[in-house]
Amino acid sequence: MKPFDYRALDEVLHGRVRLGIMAFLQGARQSDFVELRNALELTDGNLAAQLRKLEENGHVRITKGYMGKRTRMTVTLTEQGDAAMKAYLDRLRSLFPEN
Amino acid sequence: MKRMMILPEDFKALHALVDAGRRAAALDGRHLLIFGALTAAVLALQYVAETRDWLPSDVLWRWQPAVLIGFLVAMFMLRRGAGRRLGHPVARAYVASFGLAATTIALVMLAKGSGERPDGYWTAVVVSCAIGSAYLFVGAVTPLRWMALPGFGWLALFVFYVDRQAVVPTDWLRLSMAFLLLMALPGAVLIARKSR
Repeated sequence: MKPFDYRALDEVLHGRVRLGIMAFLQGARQSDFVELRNALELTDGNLAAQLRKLEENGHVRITKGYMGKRTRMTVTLTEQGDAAMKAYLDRLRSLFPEN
Repeated sequence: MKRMMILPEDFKALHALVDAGRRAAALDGRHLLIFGALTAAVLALQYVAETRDWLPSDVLWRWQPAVLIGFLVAMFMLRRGAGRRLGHPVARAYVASFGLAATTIALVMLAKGSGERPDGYWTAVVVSCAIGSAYLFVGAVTPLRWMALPGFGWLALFVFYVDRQAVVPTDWLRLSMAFLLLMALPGAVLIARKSR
């Protein structure tokens, strides 16, 4: 592989909203829908769609439960997602070695 | 969300998001630090007082209700401090597990100590088991895996007291060290991680 091979970038992570979600989760490891929506200033629909895509690819795990009468969606960064995010950032850094 | 492009500057935006996530998940460890340090000091005082015949024995045993009151106050402080963040999965697991531990300790102490001097042995057994289980639960269900370590420490103390079936003055020193290392220290670690 060349020092920087754009084809090696994870296509799922490369979307800027999904990248933002994954970056936030890398720090938090676990969050919920409302916290993610507020932190990233997203609409419910957009966040739900992006989370679904991340879940389909095994980057996050989504569990639904109740807190009082309200439903609560918990989003957890999976080990696979964590590794994928680190690999993605490493590949980007290879393009910008000063970072 | 601020628009991100794949440029060196965008790494800063990504790092800012990672930091925001870390801060969101961080728990405030002040209550553990204060409660652990105070209880350790009270237990050390009991050890010194008992081995040097300092204070009347009925005064010495006041540390047990103090442990309970301190624990309940600590939980209250955590709930207030958590505020809106009680909705966060980590904060919820933390408050639930330590709240259950405080309730268990309260019920056992009420049942065992009503009308007479509280039994130090049972307090040591219940406190070590309840707090150890709370730590283990938090370590198991949240990303704060390291919290299982003080949990194992408390449960080792629990097994030790179940086996011993009695307490002697040296145990106040042992428990004092436990509160310092397994309660105040994790509190300090939480504070350090939050402010990082």
